[in-house]
Amino acid sequence: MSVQGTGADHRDVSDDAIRLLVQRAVRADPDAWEQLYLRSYSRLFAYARRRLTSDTAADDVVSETMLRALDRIHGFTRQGAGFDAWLYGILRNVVLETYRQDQRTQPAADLPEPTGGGGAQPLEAIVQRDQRAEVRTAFERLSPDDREVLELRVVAGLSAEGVAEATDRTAGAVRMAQSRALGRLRTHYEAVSHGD
Amino acid sequence: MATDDELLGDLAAALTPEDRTPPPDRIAALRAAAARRASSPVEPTTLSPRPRARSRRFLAVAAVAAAVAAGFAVGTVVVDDDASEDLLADGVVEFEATLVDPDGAPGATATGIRTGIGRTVQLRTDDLPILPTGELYELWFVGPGDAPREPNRISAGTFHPDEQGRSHVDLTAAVDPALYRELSITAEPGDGNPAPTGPEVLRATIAIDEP
Repeated sequence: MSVQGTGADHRDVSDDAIRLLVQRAVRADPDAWEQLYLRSYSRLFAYARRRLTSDTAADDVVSETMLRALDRIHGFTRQGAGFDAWLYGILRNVVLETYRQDQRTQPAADLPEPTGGGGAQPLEAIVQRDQRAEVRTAFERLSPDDREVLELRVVAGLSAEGVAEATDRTAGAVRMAQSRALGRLRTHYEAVSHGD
Repeated sequence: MATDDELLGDLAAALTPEDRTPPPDRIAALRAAAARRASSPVEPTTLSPRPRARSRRFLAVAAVAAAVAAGFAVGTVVVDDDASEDLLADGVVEFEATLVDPDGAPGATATGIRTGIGRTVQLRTDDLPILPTGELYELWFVGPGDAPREPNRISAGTFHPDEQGRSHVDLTAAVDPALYRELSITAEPGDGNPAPTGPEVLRATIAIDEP
């Protein structure tokens, strides 16, 4: 099974461009940090927003993530799975800290629906919207661990090694978890499609 | 039946977020923090991980960014944009601390900066109540064994919130924070007595990375 994320805006920036940006970020170049922030914001915000109760809380978490990244950029090594995996590792820790410290925090259920595929015809668009709603419903029925591995792989576009680095697991364990999560997603999706 | 790749494609389409742009003030805060880092090779200490404190951290950074960008002056001690910029450019950040009230709620942030001529504390708070005329707040560096009968503390200066309750002040103090590890803000009666006599309203422990 091959997995390539399909929705991440970061693909608009080449690996070389990222490398140069990170080099400038190490020197605390404000322009570089702004570009990294702009480039990563949509995905980091979406990850945080799915797990927190408000846009403001998600913004706080993403802001803290970027500030911590700034603090720790000297410790970033290219021997790892890449800048995105490193950034998600920080984000994940900040979200977990927020969980522990704020018992009122509950995973958010309603995230604005992505509208992608703007060129679809009306009937096509309706079918697409229904299909995506079913997939989203199936996804929400998964356990937090299943959701996380699929989200990091598919939405964040991280490699198995990247997810492993971000979640402190081995790449093999990530592949296994992904395979199982996908199986459960399929089961839920078929149930949802049949109206269950 | 959809293949695995088709299912993953559907999932990606369903979950991929729309493009969003971070709020401008948060971009400015990150830029200011990067500029500050560029001028200071010392790793800043981590602030309290409480969610509210994270917000405070952002607000503290944003306050500096706003002061630098807009040049506004607030508080009883005017925060001059050029002076703040020079301070950040020339100084070394020794500590950042969040002062909390007796219930543990954050009430102010303090950044200690060592410059060539001494030390300055950038105090930022929007939450302190406005005191009656004649009364004022006082920031203290508190050392070990400090007690009412045998105080071991050094004043870093007094201040008073502006009409909006904001206190954005830079206080100069010849105090080594490694020796005086607590910060305290008291509400003083303004009776000319240099000793602390008023109630403590905020407190923080200074965390400094040991060399």
